[in-house]
Order: sequence, then structure tokens, then C-alpha cells
Amino acid sequence: MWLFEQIVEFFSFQDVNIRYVALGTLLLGASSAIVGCFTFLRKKALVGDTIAHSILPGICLSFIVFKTKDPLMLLLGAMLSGWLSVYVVDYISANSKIKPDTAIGLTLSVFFGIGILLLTHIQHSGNSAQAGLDKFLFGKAASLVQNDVITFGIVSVILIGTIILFFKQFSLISFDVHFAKTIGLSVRTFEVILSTITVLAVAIGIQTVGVVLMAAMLITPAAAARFWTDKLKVMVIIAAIIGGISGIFGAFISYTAPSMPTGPWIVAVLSFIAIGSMLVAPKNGAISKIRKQNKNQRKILEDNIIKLLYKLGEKENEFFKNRSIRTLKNYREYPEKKLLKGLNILKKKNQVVLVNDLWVLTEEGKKAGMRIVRIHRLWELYLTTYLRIAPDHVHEDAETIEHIITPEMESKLEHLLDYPEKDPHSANIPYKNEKDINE
Amino acid sequence: MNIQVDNPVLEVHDLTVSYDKKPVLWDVDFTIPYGNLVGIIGPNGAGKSTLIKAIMGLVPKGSGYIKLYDDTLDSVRHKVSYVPQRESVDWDFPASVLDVVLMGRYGKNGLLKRISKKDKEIAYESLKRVNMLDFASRQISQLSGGQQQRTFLARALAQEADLYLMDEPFAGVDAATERSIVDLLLEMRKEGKTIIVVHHDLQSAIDYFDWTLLLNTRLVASGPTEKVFTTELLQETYGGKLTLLSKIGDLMKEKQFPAREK
Repeated sequence: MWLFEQIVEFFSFQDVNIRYVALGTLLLGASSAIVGCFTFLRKKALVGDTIAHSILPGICLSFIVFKTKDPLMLLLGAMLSGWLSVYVVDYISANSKIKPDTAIGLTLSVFFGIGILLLTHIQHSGNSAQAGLDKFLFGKAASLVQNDVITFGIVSVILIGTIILFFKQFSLISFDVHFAKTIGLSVRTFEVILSTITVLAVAIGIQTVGVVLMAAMLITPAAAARFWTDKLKVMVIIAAIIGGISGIFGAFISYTAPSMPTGPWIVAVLSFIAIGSMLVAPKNGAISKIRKQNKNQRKILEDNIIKLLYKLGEKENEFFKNRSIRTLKNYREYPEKKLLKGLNILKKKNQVVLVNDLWVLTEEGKKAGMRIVRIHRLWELYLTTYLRIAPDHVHEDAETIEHIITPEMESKLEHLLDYPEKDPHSANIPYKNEKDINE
Repeated sequence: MNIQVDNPVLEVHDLTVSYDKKPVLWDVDFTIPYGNLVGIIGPNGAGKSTLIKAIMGLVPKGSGYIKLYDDTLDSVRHKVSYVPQRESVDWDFPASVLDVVLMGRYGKNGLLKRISKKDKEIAYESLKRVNMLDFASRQISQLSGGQQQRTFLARALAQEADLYLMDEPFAGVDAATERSIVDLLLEMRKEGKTIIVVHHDLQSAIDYFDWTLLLNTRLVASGPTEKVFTTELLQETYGGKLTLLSKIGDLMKEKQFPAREK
């Protein structure tokens, strides 16, 4: 009940403070996710990290110069040093032998080092106004007030508006810079705009989640969204939703457990969603891959059992004879449990029936078994005829292929080989009825 | 051999391009006549791609100038289309084939305007010409190499340009696709377009191109294909780099020496 009350209390947004915190984290989560989509697509994920760390000296310098914690003044310094760091990384990678990853590492640590130095200096300077400046290190969303939320709101509108306005340009320079240049787009201008809004997103974000975790706010929603769609616009919208939800839930968790910091919880929720997406996304997710594998294994098992029953019938010239599990086990070394599992699936499909603990092929089952055997033998013939593979090498291959060939491919194969009677090992190729061959 | 033409569609004058001060193109100077299918032929590392990148303003020039339609690139951009190498982009980008082809319309429209119905019609028409109409809504990561190349060609067609510069459009495509691309290029030439193609296969070059540039860091020859394809000139192109020239290049890189005094 306690949790329920907490949920009601938080999500009714009655409390003014809750309203500010929730709105602030929502705006921040969504807008940094939108901007982050392009950072992600341009493969500049680490640039977000660089900016986040490099903003610290800017904030400290602003404080030293203006002697105030006014968020706008601090934002100014943050923007300047964040932007400078992007420029430094680009400059080093373009004008020296140093590769971009090294340039990022160098810039990030040098800027952050200076930032810590300045921060320590300020904290020991005895200026009482400095209290709370260290919240930039780890963030402190719970302390968001009305003014902050207004700033967040304005900045979010700027960020989202810029992305909407220049969506085509940004997607073009993310996909194909050279082409963009040749149609006369000023690539440099839009790169600068994109890094500027990235810096802006980071600069407002670090007050909430802190320097260290800010990169996650930019990149993780985009990475998670990419699993769900192949369309850029949809991806941006999904990323925004993921970012926004993570923001609010992070704030909620730290509200219910007040000693919990908001920033890390936002990132924890974000990571949870990202890992979840990785697992359950319909096309690319890990679970769907496992499911496909299982389905394949089941199909192979079914096919092999029905094929065995058919081949036994073919050998003894008696298709509808009762056969025991033990007989079947003599031919296929499956564990009994697996064999039974397969037989039961076939039973449901009405391809076998169980009579006094013995298994019997049905008419339908015979057809299914015949099809597998036919495909197997046709494929062997195809391999020996068209790929000139020796007859003693084709069996293993056909064992796999027989499970995956579609009816369309099957009929193509039949046409191509002109309904042959014998496979390379002189076994008969069985057809549904004689009419098929004469067609 | 360097045959100059009057009233050329493209004039490259004394062009030098360096990477990290090492010249990869030395004083390249040639003219291309209108309405031809032109091949740029040469061994690996000859600077073929660099040459068309320099023409498109994608790499900085060390010296010389380039004129298209007797004008600067900026004033005739709408008449010029560039097809980059297929590998130059990440095909895992979230976009459909149609999205990519519509990028060809961005230059015509100004980027702030919305995609119109006519733009879409032109994009579909372009896809039809490269036999990719059925793939319009296909995600680009699912395309084969040949389909990727044809997507790029459709984007170029959608630009409705007069001069096309293509970087290795036949690289990594199967014989059937190569044939269909050649047919398309011939068709475009019939419509009066000029097409310049970077190509590295000598065998087919003689069949495909009206005009050929032989390049190996310097221009070996420029002229009608039948005049340029002589054993002597081909040997000069493929017989390796000139020793002295590469030594000077290495020295310039080592000393970080500029290509021109000023």
C-alpha cells in the first residue's frame, strides 16, 4: 500500500516541487535523447562524454568571474568550454596524426582535470556562495526549482525546434557528408549547429544527472530506439519517449527513497530500457533470435521423425505399420524424451497416431514424410548435377537443406531437374502421384 | 597525348592536390567535350577518386583551377551530380531506398521546402530506370552491393543534372548489374548528358568509353578512347609510378613543403 500511495502522490503532481522535478526531468530526458539520435548516427557517441566533462571548467570560470550561481550565467561558461572541447577534438584529429579516439581521451581528461582543479580552488576560497556548485559533478535533480524548469523549457524548445527545422540537413550530413557538400549544403555550418545544440543539451543536463552520467542521457535512448525501427523519424520519437519516461521514473524512484540520487536512477531506468530493447525487440532482439533458433530445432526434429517413419515404410514396403519407440531409437539416436516430444507434436498435426503405445503414420504423415525425402533426394541430385559435387559428399548438405526449402523452391527444383526418377545414390525419388511427373 | 577541346564541359587547369603535403595529383591539365561517356583509368593509388573529389570541391586544391560549363562549381551546382563510392556511407543508417533517392531532390528544392508530389514522382521514375522500383520501401541495410549502387545512381538521376561524376560505380557489382548500369549510362549519354566514370578494369574500358583519361598521379593521356589505348601509353600508366616524382612527393611530406610558393 505504501508504494501505491507514493505512486498516487507523485503522479498526481499535487506537490509543487514534485511538479518541477518531474517536468524538468521529462524535458531534459526527451530533448537530450532527440539531440543524441544524431550524435549516435554520426558515430560520435564519445563526443557527448567529452562535452559533459569539458563543461566543468566553464562553469567554474563563470562562477569565478561573475561570482553568481545564476543558471544562465553558468550556462554561458558551460557552452563556451563545451564548444571549445568539440573544436579541439576536431582540430586535433584533422591536423595531426592522432586518431579521433585518442583526441577525445586527451581533450576529455585535460578539460576535466582543469575543471576539478578550479572547483577545488573555489571550494577552498571561503566564498559562501559556492555551496552546491559540486552538484554539477553528480547532478541533483531533487533540487530543481521553478527557475530551472523555465530554463529547461526554453532550452528544450530551442533544441527540439532546431532539430525539426533542420531535420533534412542533419539526416543528410549524418548519412552522406560528401553528397551533402556536392549539392551545396554548408556542411560546416550544420555541423556547428549540431554540436552547439549538443553542448546546450549537455549543459542543462548535467545539473540534473551530473558530468559523469550525461553521455548516457544522449546516447542510450537513441541506441535503444534503433532496435525498434528502421525509420529515422520514428527512431527520434521513440528515443524522446524513452528519454522522457526514464527522466520521470528516475525522479519518482528517488522521490520514494529520498536518499537515492536522481541522476543515477534516471540512467539506471534508461539502461534497463536499453537492455530490455536489446532482448525483446521484434526483429533484432536477442529473444527473437533465440525463438527462431528454437523453432528451427523443433522443425528439424519433426521433419527427421516423419522422414524416419516414411523411410521405414519405404524399406519394408508397409507405410502404415505400428512402430515402437525402441524401433525408432534404433535408427535415430535421439533421447527418448526428445523423440516423444517430436512425436507428440506430429500427433497434434495429425501426421501420426498412437495405437496401444505404438506409433503409426497417417495418410497425411506419409505425404509429409514423402515430401522431405523427395526434397532431400532432389537436392542431392541438384548438387551433383549443377555444382559437380561428388555423390558421397552431398548427403550432409541435403540433411540441412531439406528442412528449409519452400514449396515454390521445391517446384522450381523439380522443373529444373525435369522430375528425375533416381537420386545420385540410385534411390527412387517419390512423387505425390504419377500425374505430377507427366505435367 | 593530351587532346584539348574547344568549349569544353569541364576544364581542369594545372591541378595539384596533396594529402598531408604529399602530392597525389601533379599538375593535371585536361578538357572534356560535351555529351561523352568518359573513363578515368589508372592503377590503384593513381589519384582517380581524388581527381573527381577535387572537381566536386571535396578536397582542397594545392594549385590550379577547375571550370565547369566555363563557370565555377558554385554557380552550376544544380547541373552537376556526384555519385560517391558505395562504401563511403554506412548502409545501416535508418532510411529506406526512397528516402535516399529523395535526397537527390534536396539540392533542386532548397533544403527548407517540403518534399512535393512531383519530387516523389521523379524519385519513383529514377528508381524505375535503375530497375529498383520494387525496392522503394526496402530498408537500405537489406540491399545487396549491386542494389546499393543502383540506389545511388537513382539518387543521381533524381538530381536531373547534365554532368555526372561517378566514383567506381562498377566496383563489387555482378556482371548483370554492370551491364544494366552501362546500358543506363549509354541511355543518359543519348539524352546529351556527360558522364565521367572512375574505372579500373582495362578490358571493359575500351568498350564502354568514348573518351579516356589515363592517370597515374600525373595525367598520362586524355583523348578519344581509340587514340589513347595504345600499348605505349598503357604501359606508361600501369608501369608504376615515376621514381623521381614519388621521391619528391615523399620529401615534400617529410619537410611539410607546400605545393606552391604562395
